[in-house]
Amino acid sequence: MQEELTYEQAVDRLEKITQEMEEGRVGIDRLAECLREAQQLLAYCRDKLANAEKDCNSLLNVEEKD
Amino acid sequence: MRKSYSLLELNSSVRRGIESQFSARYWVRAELAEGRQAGNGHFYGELVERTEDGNTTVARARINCWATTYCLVRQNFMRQTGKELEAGLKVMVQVSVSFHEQYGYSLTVHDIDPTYTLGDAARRRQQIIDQLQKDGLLAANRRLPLPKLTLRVAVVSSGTAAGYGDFVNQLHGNQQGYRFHTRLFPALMQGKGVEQSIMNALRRIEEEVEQWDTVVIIRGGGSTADLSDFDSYPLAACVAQFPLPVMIGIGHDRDSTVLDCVAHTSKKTPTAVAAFLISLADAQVEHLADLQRRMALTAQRSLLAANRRLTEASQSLALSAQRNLSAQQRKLSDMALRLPIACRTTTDRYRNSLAIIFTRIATALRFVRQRQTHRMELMKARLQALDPRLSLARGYSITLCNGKLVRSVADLKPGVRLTTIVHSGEITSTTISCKKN
Repeated sequence: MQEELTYEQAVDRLEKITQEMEEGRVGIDRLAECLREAQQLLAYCRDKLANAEKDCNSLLNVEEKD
Repeated sequence: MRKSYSLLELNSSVRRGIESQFSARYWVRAELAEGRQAGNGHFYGELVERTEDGNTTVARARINCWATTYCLVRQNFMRQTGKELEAGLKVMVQVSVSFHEQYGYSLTVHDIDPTYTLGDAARRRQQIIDQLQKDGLLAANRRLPLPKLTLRVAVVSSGTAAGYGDFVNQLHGNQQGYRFHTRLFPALMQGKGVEQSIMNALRRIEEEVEQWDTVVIIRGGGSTADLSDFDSYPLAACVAQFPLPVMIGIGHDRDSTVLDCVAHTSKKTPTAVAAFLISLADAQVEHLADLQRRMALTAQRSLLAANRRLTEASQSLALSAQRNLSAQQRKLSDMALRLPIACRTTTDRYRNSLAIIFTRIATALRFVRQRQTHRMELMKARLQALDPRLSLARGYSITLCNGKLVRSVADLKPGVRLTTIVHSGEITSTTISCKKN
């Protein structure tokens, strides 16, 4: 499911979950589920960010060599 | 007897009179009405003077010029004017007056002043130019713009003229290798009929005007060439109004003709016209080369500017990409921090809530128990107060009839068996009477 999300969508969702938790809008029943989803989103975003960074660096290096 | 003379005597007398009275030589201005060189080399002709409108002859004289004089005079005249001594010319001649008994009055020519004839030709030329000016034609052809490329050249000339050959050779033999396309439209370039012949050639060119860039009228020749044929109003008007630029090179180096004045471009010789055409092509080539240089320069500048912009863009791109990535990194780190805190906060909150609820429940239980205990106590007290044994002890009794509580006299009749319960035991009795209160 997360594979279908864009980075922005994933970050927005993560933000929403965190805010909901911070504002106490997450019930105990959903707490573990939300936390699991948030952790997955965080990992997903970190992964995407790392890839983007890697791609950018490699592209910028190619340009500098040209 | 009347005195009379023979004709010869009279003529001899007239001759003597004239010779004595007009013994000098005189410069005379007149028009050469006719003239011819006889087989013996002498020149015979006639001078006339006409009224200003040219319609009426007001003076006339026969002239002759002896062969030896004529030979020198003619040579000088032709060298300077480019003309033969022919009818219609205005001349200034140095003459001596003679009278011959047999041939009468005549003038013997000793010299001719060619500058007078030239001056007259110039006057005539000026008149034509003035007229062209008045008719708005003088600069008409010159106002035509030269085409960017003047490679298709219609040539009006005589095919046998040396000037034509020179022109064609020079044009086609140009060192730059320009491919000129020429075609000869033959015309007489000297003698009678020049005017008409050139105009006919121009008409033929006009019929296919779109095939040509320019018209060139050329002929070879030199200082002796007769140019007066080109001083013609109809021919000049035709050239002036021609739809293509007309270039003239009629081989003279003395003075210009009317045609030179109306033509778009006038050069002294056919080869000069050819050189001019080649120079036009040179200028065009130079213009193109200049455009090319400017284009190359502009392109180079544009490329440099674009390159600069790209470098800047690439730098800002790298910077902005890094900033973006860093910002996202920070955001994720921030959320990674916030998330466990938020999670703990949530569980703590719920834990607290539960503790509160637990406390409340304990309190509530305590309260309920207290209230129930109290209530039980009350109930017990009330129950105790209601115990009938207490009433029996105080002296009250309970009467039953057939096991039922007797509450009213109406429930009984005399003679029924009653059981009365008192504190200490039961009494059995029978009713005697029943009386209501």
